[in-house]
Amino acid sequence: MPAFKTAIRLIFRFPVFLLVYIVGLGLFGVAITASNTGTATAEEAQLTDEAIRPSVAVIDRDGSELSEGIHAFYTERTTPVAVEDTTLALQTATAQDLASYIVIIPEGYGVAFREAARSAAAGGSETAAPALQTIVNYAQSDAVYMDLLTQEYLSVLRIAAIAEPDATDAEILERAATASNLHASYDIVETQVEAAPSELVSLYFSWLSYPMTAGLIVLTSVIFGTFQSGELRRRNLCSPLSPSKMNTQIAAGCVALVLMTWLFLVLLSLLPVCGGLELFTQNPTIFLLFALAALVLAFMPFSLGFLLSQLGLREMASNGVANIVGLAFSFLSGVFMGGTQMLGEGIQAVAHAIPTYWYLGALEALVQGGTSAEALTGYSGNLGVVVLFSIVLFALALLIGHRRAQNAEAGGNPAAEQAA
Amino acid sequence: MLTTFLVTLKTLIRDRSVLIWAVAFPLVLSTLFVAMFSNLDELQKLDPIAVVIVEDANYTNAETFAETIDALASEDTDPDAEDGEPLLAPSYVANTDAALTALAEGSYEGFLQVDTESMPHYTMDARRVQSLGFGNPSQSVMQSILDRYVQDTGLLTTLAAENPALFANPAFIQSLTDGSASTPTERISVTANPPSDSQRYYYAVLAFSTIMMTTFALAAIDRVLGNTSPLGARRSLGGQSKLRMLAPTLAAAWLLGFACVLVGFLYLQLVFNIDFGGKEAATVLTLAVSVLAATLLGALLGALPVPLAVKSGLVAPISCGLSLFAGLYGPFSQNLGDWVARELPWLSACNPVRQVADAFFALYYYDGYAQLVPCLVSLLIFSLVFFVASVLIIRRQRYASL
Repeated sequence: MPAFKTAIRLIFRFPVFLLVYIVGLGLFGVAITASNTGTATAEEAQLTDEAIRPSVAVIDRDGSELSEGIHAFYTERTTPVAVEDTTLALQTATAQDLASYIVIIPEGYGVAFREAARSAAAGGSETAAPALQTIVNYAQSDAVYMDLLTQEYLSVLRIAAIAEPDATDAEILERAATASNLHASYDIVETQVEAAPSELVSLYFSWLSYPMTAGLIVLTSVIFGTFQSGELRRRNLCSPLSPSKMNTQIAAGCVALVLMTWLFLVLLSLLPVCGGLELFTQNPTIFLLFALAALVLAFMPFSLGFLLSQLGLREMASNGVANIVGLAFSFLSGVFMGGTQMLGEGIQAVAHAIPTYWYLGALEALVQGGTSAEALTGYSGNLGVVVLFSIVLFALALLIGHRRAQNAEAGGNPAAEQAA
Repeated sequence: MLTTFLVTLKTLIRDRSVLIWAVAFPLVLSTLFVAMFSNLDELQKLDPIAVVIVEDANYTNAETFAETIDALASEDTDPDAEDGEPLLAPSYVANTDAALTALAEGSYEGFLQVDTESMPHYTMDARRVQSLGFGNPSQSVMQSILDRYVQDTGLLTTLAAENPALFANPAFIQSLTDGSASTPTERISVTANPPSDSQRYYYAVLAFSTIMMTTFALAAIDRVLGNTSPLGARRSLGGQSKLRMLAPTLAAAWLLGFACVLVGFLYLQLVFNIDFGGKEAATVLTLAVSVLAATLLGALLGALPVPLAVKSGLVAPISCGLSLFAGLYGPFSQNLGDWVARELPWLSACNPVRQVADAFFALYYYDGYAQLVPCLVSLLIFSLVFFVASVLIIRRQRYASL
């Protein structure tokens, strides 16, 4: 097995690719998964309004008892962020996403609020109610939620103020606080019987497709490519090992690389921050199906790397193509976007031509349906498409390789004709 | 020196693999990003929440609640919705079993039913609480809607028990029907341009493009040094001093890199109308300084006494790794980058790609140039550090000697 051993040695002759693409990007996946641990899971979701707590900054320019009460309400119900009351600080908080919602209580708000309530209670034409100023940045859905939460609190505050026009601000606030502690009743229903994979493990396995794609494309390409570089190829052709046996051994070396990469990346998912171990103990079948999906995907970049080597791309160009393909596949299939829901319809149509889209489809089928017959049908169907991609790319590479082996430069029949 | 400058320029332009990295890669990524994210801000708006409602006798009797739901399903209740989209998209079923069946289909967030005391109970689909990738704000919005109803009702019930005469006052009853018009909020903007999520991607990709210009300097320096390439060995035998070779080489690498990012910038601005805050001159200056830092980083990498393949292999991981914290890889990496910027600002300050992206942010979001200056100074410091380090490495290298 000399060619096989050489192929294995070659893997470690490119430690930068191995360390950066497989180890480095794999660990980045772990870091990104860990940084999303704040998102609620089914078990953690509270039956109150705890599911999301947007970061909110309150700028109190009024300083009244009422405005302090409003400030206290936001502190209790959101993730409070301290922002100075300067234009620069407000711009920074917005631009750098320090606060997804900023509330400005204007000067005189407390007096104007009470005045409007008294006017309404007296039955006269209601004095124009003062407005709370709000600033939102990127998170539009957070803004909708925060607008509703604001209306929710101001509504009870206003009713309390109209009902008791002569009460003090403290009394109004206390009554509003009592009311705002009331909640509708909620529960969560499990529509699937099995323990579903946590968001974290799904997120990690989605991300895993990026290091796997980029890393295996570049490594497979340079290993195959090294054996096919001009003089080395000619020398190998003179060896007693037949070309078919040699190619089989090189391919076996690359398959070993695929398996090592897959195993390493799947083992990373077992880290506590990725939730893989928890899933494995709760539902080993689903975990193994996740791992199997990753293994099936791993042969796609293997085929693509082989194709690049047959096209004659060398290290630097393969590296460039691997990066472009890795990023493009990951973006178009929604790996970096948490699914395709954030992509436009046109892009979603394009995504169907991307193998990682189908890989994510297989994961999603497991997340949605567990090991039900319907889910497994969806899972295997999606993975089947990934396998088809791998086969087509591999066949294309074989065809191109066959043609290259017969051209004049390689010493095939056209060379003989030229010599004649 | 002019000859060295021109020859370096020509050889770099003729290097196809370098051009793939420096020109094709950023342009392909920019095109991809624009195609993907041009309507991102629209997509981020909350869609009407699909919810099943059990329309039984309790629901029919709870007239006020039913009216609230009807209003949310028909009116423009989302303040950000310019097209008048409602907040709720209800579907009605006869009983709880039918609601559970509908929920199992997977198209709804949950189902809503009303008890005998006209109080709502909301049942969430566990899969919608735990969605792949993101938390689900729809559930929180749903909870907020129901909480408001419960709180208003609870307060009115308490007031009715304490002071029944209050409900005989037509003014009080009238004031209750005024709704949110009486508790207004006013959306204001404090930034020079409106916040846009898609801008983050364009700025990140342009910042990534600038750091990719390390490839030019790396390839050029590799061909100058005697112990890194055969061409460098031959050139070392010439009569020119290292300074006279390095200066025009780096100048050529910078010029080519600057031209490439300028093409990328113009491509984004002219072809796709990407907004850079209307400060084109400052943007071009930022690009020039950014490419200077990238060029000198390339010089540092190129000076390393290791094979070109290893050095070239370092460019992509360094660029991609640094770009991760500049938010190139979507919401997850943006969150991670923002977290690092908040919790470990010194680490963020050590990331030139983040500094470039922050410079574009400064141009877009702030009125003046005060926020741009620290970013540029930071990039100039990077340039100085890279330059000094590369000079130290080049000066200390000893070739084969007696």
